[in-house]
Amino acid sequence: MTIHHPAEHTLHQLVDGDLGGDSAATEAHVSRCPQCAAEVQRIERFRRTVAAASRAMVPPPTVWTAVQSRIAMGAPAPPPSSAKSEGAATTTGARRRRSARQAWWRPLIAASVVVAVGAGVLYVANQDRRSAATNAAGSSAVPNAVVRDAMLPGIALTDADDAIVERLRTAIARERNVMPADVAAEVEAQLGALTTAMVVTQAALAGDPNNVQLEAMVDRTRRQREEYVNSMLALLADY
Amino acid sequence: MYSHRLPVVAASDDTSGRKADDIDALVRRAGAGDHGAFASLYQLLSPRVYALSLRLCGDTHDAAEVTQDAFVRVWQRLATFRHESDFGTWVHRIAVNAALERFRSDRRRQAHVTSAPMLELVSFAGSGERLDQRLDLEQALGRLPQLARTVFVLREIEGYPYAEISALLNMTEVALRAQVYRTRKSLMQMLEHTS
Repeated sequence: MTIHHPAEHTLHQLVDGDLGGDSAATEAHVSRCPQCAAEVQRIERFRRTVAAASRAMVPPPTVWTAVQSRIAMGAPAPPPSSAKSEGAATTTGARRRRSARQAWWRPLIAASVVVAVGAGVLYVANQDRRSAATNAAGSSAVPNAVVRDAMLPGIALTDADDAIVERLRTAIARERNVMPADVAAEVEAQLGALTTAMVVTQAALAGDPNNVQLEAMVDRTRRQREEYVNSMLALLADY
Repeated sequence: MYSHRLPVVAASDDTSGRKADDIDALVRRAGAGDHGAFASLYQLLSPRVYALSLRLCGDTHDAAEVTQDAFVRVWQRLATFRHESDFGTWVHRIAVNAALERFRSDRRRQAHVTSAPMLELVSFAGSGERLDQRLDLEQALGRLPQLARTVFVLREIEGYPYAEISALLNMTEVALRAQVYRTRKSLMQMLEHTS
């Protein structure tokens, strides 16, 4: 006697609970057919694997940097609800201040993009190594310290012995009275980010001295920071 | 001015640890132009958005760009958010649309194997599943054609109703179900082949 097995998609529907009133016959068949029962178990096992898949993966820090840059470059901020009435009558002075701030933004934005690109290249340059480490160490693989540092924002660095950076900091301090505090803070933050990119890249190169991509990155990040500092000094001179 | 460093926290699968009131307060502050509040929302929601983007795109570079697009749009549209719905779900929908628009505008794209290095940062809290099984699933997903992957991720991983996927992809629900079953079969074969 020929056994008529349910179609494969019917077994999927059964597992999904999508058969509705038609499920009784299929359930009865599965209960007495080892072949279909095994297929149902196989589908259920797969669904458990999918259900256990993590819903969260930390994005690279460059994503946040890029979001900030894009917002600064043009994405309009939400209208400040509480400040609407206060700011309804924009004065000429306020417009002038905003104009000055926008002028300040241009090099800052450029630096954000530079950091994003730099960190991205660094990340890519380390991919093969991380992949190899993961494969070698299996499930317990942990990114090495350099890579983890590169992936995490907020690395604090000091530039006390860096003359060019000190020149900029001195200039900023001199201009504190006329420069909006948030602009000064932004310059410091961008400088910190550029320094972070430079130092992290140097650290990565120290761990992988034959990596030509990292070598190029070290030069590039150093040059970028110098260019940023010089452009800010020039801007300050005209301010 | 806008440069907020993000607090370093482990990725979690959801924001359930955070009170809805807290999130709502952050959304209201961000909607009023508070960049710090927006940074906190990014910190809370970006792991889920990035995971979704990575699975939809199958490529870390594209996933990063989709995540960027999504959060820029979130910022732009904060004022339109109605506080009676779930903010995370709203952000999620924006990310899905950003990904789909990207696919539509780049029909030349090929399916890529997802990059294993990003998976190092996946949070495994609350699950006893072995890492190698996860990697197999992610890699298998990365080998799927774009449409199959999109349908599967939205339905099987993200739990979207068929009706909503149907509207998003302009496909009938019958066709979607068939696609899901076919994709399941392919993935099951791939996983069994690698195990």
